Amino acid sequence: MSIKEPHNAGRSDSRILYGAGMSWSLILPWLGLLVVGFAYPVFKLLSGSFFDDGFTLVHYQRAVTEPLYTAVLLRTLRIALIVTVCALLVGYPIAYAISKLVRPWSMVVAACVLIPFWTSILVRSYAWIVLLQRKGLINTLLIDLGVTSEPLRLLYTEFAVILAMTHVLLPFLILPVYGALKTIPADLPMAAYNLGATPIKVFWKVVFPLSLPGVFAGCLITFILALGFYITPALVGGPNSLMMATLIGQQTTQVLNWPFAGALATILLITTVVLAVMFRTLLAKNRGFSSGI
Amino acid sequence: MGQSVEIKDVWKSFGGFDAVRSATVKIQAGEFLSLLGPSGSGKSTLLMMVAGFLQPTSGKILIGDEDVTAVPANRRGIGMVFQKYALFPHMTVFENIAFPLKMRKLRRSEIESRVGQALDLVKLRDLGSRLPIQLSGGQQQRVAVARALVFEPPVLLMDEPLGALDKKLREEMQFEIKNLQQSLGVTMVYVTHDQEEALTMSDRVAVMNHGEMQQIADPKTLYREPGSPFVADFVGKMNLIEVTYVDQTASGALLKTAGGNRFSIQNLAVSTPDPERPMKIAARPETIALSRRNETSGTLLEGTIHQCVFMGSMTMVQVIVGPEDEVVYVQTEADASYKPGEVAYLEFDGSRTSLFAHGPDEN
Ligand SMILES: Nc1ncnc2c1ncn2[C@@H]1O[C@H](COP(=O)(O)OP(=O)(O)O)[C@@H](O)[C@H]1O
Ligand SMILES: [Mg+2]
Repeated sequence: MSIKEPHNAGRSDSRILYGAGMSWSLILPWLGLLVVGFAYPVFKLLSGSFFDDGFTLVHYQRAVTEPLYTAVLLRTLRIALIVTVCALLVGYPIAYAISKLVRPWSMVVAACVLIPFWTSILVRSYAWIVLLQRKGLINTLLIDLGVTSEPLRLLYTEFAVILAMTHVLLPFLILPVYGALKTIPADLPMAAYNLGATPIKVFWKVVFPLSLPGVFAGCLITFILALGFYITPALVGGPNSLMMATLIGQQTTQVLNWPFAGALATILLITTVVLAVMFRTLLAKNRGFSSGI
Repeated sequence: MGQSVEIKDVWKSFGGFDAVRSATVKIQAGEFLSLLGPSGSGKSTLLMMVAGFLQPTSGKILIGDEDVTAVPANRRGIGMVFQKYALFPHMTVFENIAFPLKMRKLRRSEIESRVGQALDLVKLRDLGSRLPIQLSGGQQQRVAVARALVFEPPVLLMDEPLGALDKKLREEMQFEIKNLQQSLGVTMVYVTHDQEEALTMSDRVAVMNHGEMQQIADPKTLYREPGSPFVADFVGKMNLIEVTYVDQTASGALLKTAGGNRFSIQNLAVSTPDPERPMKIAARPETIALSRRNETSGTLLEGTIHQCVFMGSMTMVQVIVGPEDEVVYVQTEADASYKPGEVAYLEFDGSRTSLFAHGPDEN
């Protein structure tokens, strides 16, 4: 989680305290574990997608030409985008509230954000099943209120996927935005107010622009996590809301077509990296932010 | 263009704690008033109430003839320079200075010419396109001043604006701010904890302590006739010596130090000659004459030289009087040659020495 520190003094301090040898000997075991446990299998999976009795692009050809797979990729991008926007629209006001509220209340709101964050994603996703199913809380409520006579089909839809993913990913947006809001010196909004700005202008001309680094960081994290999200879409989504990660999961566990799963994974990885780089370029072009606040 | 500011019996409490108590002062249009006091004395709190960021618990604030107590900060039209400048880091110098004009919906051409004038005023003509982070501390300070003045406010507030600058730059800026204030005729309320700064810049100084305005006076009066031991101690270098009154003699009032040393002061006005009552005399180092022998007819305070500190244009001599090692500072000419341990006599100038009754509330 990248909460921006006002001064990053810690880094150079530890460099003085511990020599290079010490640092490496501490890092190496974990580096080894990472290579054996993560880098090698991923490399194996990704490289496997290029081989089938010798070098071939047939898996990629299939992934690109068969409409099902491009549709899933586009849907994944669309859902990730919608989830990011929803998380921003819901999360920004919450982050703003936490940064503005006084002591006991800010803690209460922060706890409401963080306690779900510390709860397993699996549990939170199942909670949505309980809420959204045919005889779940929401349908019961709607019928009791007379909004509908028949229970609505909420679960196993794209709506359910977006709703649950937004909820699950919300803290990843709130925390960086909160961090950015907290680093804005209190005298800046005061100065704007003193210079004749209305409270709304104070927000849009000063507070919001200065929180953009946190907004960008939060959106990027949320978007990337949403692109590769597996558990929540698999649990609350249906065949019509299939996403890339679920598709890759099916290929490895049910169809056992590992090279094709590798090809899909490579495509998802490249898409993610390209979008992340585009995002960062956009951010760097944004005047003032590269030079810090 | 300045307008008067009237603070009428203003109180501010934070949950039972009175940060400002019964502040009352009328600042004339175009006057430079400093709020001087130690940290925590309520200077900023009072300034925040004038600016409109804090609501007084009771009391009124008037600008010109208008009661602005209930007017929100963004409609008071008061200029303010913050301690850390509070420049918007995502805007250029030009945009920063244009901000108050944009909020007032001025025409673009008007904004450009006024920002240009403001930049000229603070001698930053060519730096309009820079970001605040690309400026030195002194330049940032000037931008903050330009931004606070560009919309021609009748009143300008500054809260320790020079605190972050080094000594030389600070003195330069004191001079420039004072000049600007005078030439524009804007009313200034200036917060500082630096008594030298307050004395050199102000028309009048209000000394604050524990939320109270202890004395409001022009710098000369404040320095020469401090109204309380606190003001005497806080403004300039001051010797405060505990004494009791003994008698009136031919050579002036005869006093006794806590250690039992007697000495007389010619021309000292004693309003309550009560031998039972502990008092304090306050004398500036430059008003005390130091000599090796008592050549006057009166009784002089006897002391032992502790140390001489050469300070360029003069020498500050520390003299120990009495058994409690009480130190009295005496200013002598630069090449005075007293040695530690030497006995010396202190002669006080009654017309330049203040006498305070030793009340329980003084500090
Ligand atoms: N918002 C606040 N809540 C509680 N106490 C405060 C608040 N603002 C200031 N104070 C207290 O009021 C007193 C005066 O503060 P301040 O006006 O900032 O002093 P100064 O500017 O003279 O250093 C201090 O004791 C401070 O702790
Ligand atoms: Mg202060």
